[in-house]
Amino acid sequence: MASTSLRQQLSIMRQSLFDEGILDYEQVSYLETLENEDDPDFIENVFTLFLRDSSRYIDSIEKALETSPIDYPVMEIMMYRLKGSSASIGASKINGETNILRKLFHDGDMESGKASLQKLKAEHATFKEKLAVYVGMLKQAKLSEY
Amino acid sequence: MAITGESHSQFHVLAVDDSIIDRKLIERLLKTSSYQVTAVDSGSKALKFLGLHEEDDHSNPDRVPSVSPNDHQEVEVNLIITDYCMPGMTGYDLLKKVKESSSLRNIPVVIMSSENVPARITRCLEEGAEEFFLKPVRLADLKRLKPHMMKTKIKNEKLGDQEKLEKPEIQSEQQQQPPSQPQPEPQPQPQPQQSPLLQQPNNNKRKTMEEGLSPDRTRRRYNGGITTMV
Repeated sequence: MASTSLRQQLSIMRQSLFDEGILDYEQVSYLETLENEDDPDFIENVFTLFLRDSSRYIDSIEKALETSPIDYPVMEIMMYRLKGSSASIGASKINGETNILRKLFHDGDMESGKASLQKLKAEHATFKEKLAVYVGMLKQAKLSEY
Repeated sequence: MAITGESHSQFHVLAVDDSIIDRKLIERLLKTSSYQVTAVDSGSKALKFLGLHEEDDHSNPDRVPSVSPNDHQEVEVNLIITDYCMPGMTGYDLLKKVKESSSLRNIPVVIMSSENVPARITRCLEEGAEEFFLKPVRLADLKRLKPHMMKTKIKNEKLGDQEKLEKPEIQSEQQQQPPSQPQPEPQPQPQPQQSPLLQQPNNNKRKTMEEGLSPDRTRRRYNGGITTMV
């Protein structure tokens, strides 16, 4: 079993991710119930995938905004994907910011949209940092079980 | 042949989603529910897996939905669950292609979407989708899949039986039906809670069907009777 202190740290970190609204308790608990011996790394894997994909989506949105003329179709696809995957893994703040972003661009409010994108990027940077630590701890906890 | 219903490993689901995260998720959900899963990232790959090539297969209308005459491989798929919004072929396009194919049209199709758009939902149900799930999909949603899959299983087995017994069984069923019996349930009716029926083209069922088909032989015969009329 993972050492008590590691497990405690994991538990504390997990709770703080919920308390800060970074992760949605319901969705994440639900994902955790799906992890079992058949797929013991399920949570780490989906979080890692999301960390990778979300970065790509946000980069694409930014690039699409910078092209001239603005590449709206790509922006739409990327925002849609970010919205979907953030909901799937319970990344609530990112999901919320993405919904705001989508609405602003759908309404044609480019200035607010751009500001909102900056906010999303900041939120995402925080998310990446914290989730990277959390996933690292998850992996460590598993390793120390052997 | 008794259907245990609880052992799902005999059911094979084809999951289609262009998002790798959602694909992983649906795969995990399905495996947790003990289904066999094949997950692909596009509608065209799904059709390839199902053995449907560019031309529709019209040659064998009564064929169980498992094998294309062009394929040497027998891959039985009991349900297709697909995302709606996908690049290229959407889930709706895939649904249409499946329903237009005589070899595949009896495979139940379920659509998933992260957006709750009533017109979209109606469109899919009218095209023959059995269910429409909002994402993120939950295990509870998957519980609604069993009746649809069992319906196909029973029909496949029934078709298997028929091949052995030839036709007489159908006629004897009709004779056995006593006049006083209430209209058989399998007649298409609007109430969503009716026992699982064979797919009708304008199926509007959205709600949960009764959990699990009764292994009752009488009901199977009704289904079998209607099978041959299709």
